[in-house]
Amino acid sequence: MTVTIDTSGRGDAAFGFWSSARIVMWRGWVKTQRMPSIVVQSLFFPTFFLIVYSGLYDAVTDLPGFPTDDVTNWFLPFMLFQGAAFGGLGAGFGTAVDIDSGFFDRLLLMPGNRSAIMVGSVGYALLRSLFVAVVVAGVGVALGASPTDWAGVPLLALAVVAISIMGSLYSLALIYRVKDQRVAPLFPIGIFVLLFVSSAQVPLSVTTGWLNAAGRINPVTNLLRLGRQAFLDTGVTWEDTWGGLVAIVVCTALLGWWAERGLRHYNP
Amino acid sequence: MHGTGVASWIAHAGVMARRSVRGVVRQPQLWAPSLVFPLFFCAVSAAAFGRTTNLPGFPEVDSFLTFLVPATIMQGVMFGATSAGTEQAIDMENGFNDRLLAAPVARVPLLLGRLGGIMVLSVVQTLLFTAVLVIAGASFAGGVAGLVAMVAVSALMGAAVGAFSMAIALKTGSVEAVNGFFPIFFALVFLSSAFFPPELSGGWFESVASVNPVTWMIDGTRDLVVQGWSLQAAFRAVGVAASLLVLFLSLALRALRSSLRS
Repeated sequence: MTVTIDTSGRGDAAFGFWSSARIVMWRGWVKTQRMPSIVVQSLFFPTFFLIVYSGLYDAVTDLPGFPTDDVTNWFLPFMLFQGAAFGGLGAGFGTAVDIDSGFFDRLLLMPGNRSAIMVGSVGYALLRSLFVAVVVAGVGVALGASPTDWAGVPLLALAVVAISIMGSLYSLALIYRVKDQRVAPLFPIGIFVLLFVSSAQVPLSVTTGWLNAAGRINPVTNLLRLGRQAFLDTGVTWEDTWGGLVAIVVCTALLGWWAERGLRHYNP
Repeated sequence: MHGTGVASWIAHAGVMARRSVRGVVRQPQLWAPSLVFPLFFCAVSAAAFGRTTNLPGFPEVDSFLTFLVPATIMQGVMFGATSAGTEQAIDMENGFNDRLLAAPVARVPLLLGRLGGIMVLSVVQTLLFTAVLVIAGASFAGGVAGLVAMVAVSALMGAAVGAFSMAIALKTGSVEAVNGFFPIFFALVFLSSAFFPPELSGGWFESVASVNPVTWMIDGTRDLVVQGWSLQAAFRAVGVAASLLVLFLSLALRALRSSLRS
């Protein structure tokens, strides 16, 4: 058998950046289909919390300053964010398993740009997040959620996609550095804290004390303002849009740089 | 340590209880989440929903933080107690359980000892949470008698949840299966009066919460915390926790007998 080694540095066309990314993404998606329990876990919390919160906190919308009187409309975008963020973490969890089994080292031997592995992992987690988002949105609609301004729906979709990508980049940046599957269960803590220390549960004007101060500087608050416009009485406004767009660009760029740097300096 | 008398049962259970406490204390991943998450969730909820105490129909209470005291304690105790099942399953997976069974000891104390360890941890957790929440500004009207009753409820509830998780572990021998049942307790806590008065929620939530035993227990302990010592409230809370312990302990004993036969 003759083995041909490409020393040109450009790699074979079959191993171009996007085709490599697509293969990594497809592999992750096939793995998910073979282990549906992974998706069930991602689905459980946002769906459960949406159902419970829409009953539990029904009276909260009576508080002065609440921009809607429909509690499901208030909580649906937050639960979509939660599903997208935890779905995004799937990129890190999948990579942690691959590192543990030694498969990731073989992936690194793939000719071409290493970043394709990262992009593929983000893509796979995005597919997973979108699946979770569709189910959670369906549950929300079944519970009575209904957009008040359809122009806000694409903005909500953009925010959900962005949150998933950010969750993926965050988990990848961490796993490329710690390289240990046992640390992976700690990844959701950062996301959990960021999501809850914001206007996730009530508007900032209703919060008191430290939460009000912390929520103001948390970029998730701006993302929620962007995403929630579709479901609030106020409708879409530029005032509630621009902060979220800035948060998406800045956070994605920073997390992308952090993850890419981690992968570039990754040594098995 | 040989023998079948009550003294040897107690001695064997004591050894297992000590091992259980040491095992949990040495593994922060087992106890840290049940300490950190309930306190974090309490801090966030108190700051987010603090103004809801002004809503018409909200029960008389000096702050939302005080309202959350029983919920935070029970949440921590219930989540922490699943470590009994996790430890049992780990022992079965790594073969230590077989070595224990090969030793000349009665079987039931092995199970009771582990639950004893969980009760000790639940008591410590309750005292720690109470101290932290009072320092953070919560009031505790029940005094020493109320605190003793709440500690008893926590210990019984910790043992009840521990017994349930051990029943799953003994039945399946799998850590994954034990963790898979965790959402049941998660759901029971959130579908109760723990985080908001169900009478204000209304609708289906009020109906579900009113038949949830966790609501009966939380309401009893909340009366102790908010209104002060009351024998009736103490009996209600202790009674629910003790009933759950009897139910789940019988499940665990059945699972133990069945695992010994196989």
